[in-house]
Amino acid sequence: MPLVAVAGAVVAGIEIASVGIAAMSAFEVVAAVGAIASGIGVVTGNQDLAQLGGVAALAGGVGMFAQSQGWFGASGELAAGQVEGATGNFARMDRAQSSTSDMINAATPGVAPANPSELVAADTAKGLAGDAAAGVTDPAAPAAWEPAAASNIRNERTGLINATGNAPTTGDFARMDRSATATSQSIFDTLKQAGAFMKDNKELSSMGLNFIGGLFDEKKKNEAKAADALSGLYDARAATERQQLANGNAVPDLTGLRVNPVNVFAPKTAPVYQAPRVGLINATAR
Amino acid sequence: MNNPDLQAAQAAIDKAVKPADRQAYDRIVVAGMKVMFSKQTHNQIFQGLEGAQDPVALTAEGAAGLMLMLREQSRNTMPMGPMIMAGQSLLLEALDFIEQGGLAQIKVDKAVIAQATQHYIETILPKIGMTPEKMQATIGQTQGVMNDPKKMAAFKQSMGG
Repeated sequence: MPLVAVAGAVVAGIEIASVGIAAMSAFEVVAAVGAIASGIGVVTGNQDLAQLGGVAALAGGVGMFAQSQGWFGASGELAAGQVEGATGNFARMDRAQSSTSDMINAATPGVAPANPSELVAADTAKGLAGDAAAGVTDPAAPAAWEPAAASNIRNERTGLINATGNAPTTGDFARMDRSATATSQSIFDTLKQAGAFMKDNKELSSMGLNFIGGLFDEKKKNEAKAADALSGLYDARAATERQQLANGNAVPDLTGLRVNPVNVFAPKTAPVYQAPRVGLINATAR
Repeated sequence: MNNPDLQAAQAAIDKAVKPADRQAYDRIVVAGMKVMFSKQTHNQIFQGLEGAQDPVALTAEGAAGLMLMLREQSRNTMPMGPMIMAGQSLLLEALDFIEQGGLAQIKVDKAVIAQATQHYIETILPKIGMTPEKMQATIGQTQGVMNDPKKMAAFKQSMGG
């Protein structure tokens, strides 16, 4: 299967492999992801990847160790009950999901209970009949397929007392925002939240895992950016030196070189042999 | 690999593999390389990258998909940890091959490697059941241990610290 097809299948959400994940594997996966992310993050200078990878590696490592010690109970599977039972920020975050249904089910003052499909059917029928009777099309009017604004919703806003009667309470908005955040998370968002917890953990701090603090420290981030810029400068210098070295080692192209056909070193007159002076007798002979 | 950034990344992955996982990791990488570069498949497997809008993301997704296929072939017996690391290694191999062969307009540098890694992780984890919610629950489960000084001392000791 071509790579593109494999990728397409993954993107399209086709289940290539139906895989369940046991708790032991879950910690193993978190640790492996942490190892990859931190390793690649360090090598590439990507601070976020390095730090979030550190968070995952630590959590995965602790989880695997705890699992091997039997601290999580005998069942090998992460059950929903276990998640709810866990203490801490992560377990509490899950409750944002249920607050959405609370909000939907809660009685909202000022709106009479009505069946939406009945409203749409009644108003659409009314609109179509009205258009047909008039024989004209109002450009401002909704098209026939659009449900007209429901007219039989009772608006009980009468005066200042009821002015906010239909509006959701502040609490509802707050809950909506939290539920939206919970559903739009990526893996790395989750790791970032885990880092927030670990940052304040005394036990982890005592282990010298202060690298997590960099996730939330703007000063450290700026320092990292400056270091990156410096690293870029060094890389550029190294590249220049490599190029110079390559130029020096390169074999010159001699294809265009023309050689003078005249041998400039050839003697024009025959050399005269001169015997070497040997001995004292000949030393001063003139 | 000729690209120094890819070489460094590969070295980092090799270093991160635990000794206990080494054999499984090597076997998975070899199996993946066979699929990617065998005479029967290497021409076909990378087709379609030319002209792709985001060849880096496509390559990362391909590496994730390849791992899932191999795991299926193993009847889901392939261990998860080594599998994820082997997939990253194959991703680096694929990026190298694409750059060397000029299959797509990619200049593989540190930023590209980081981007591909992040995309690979984001792609493969939900596919093996590790959704953000599941990861949240998994990490959340360790908080009790992290808050317990005695347990953390034992963990620290196990790490040789």
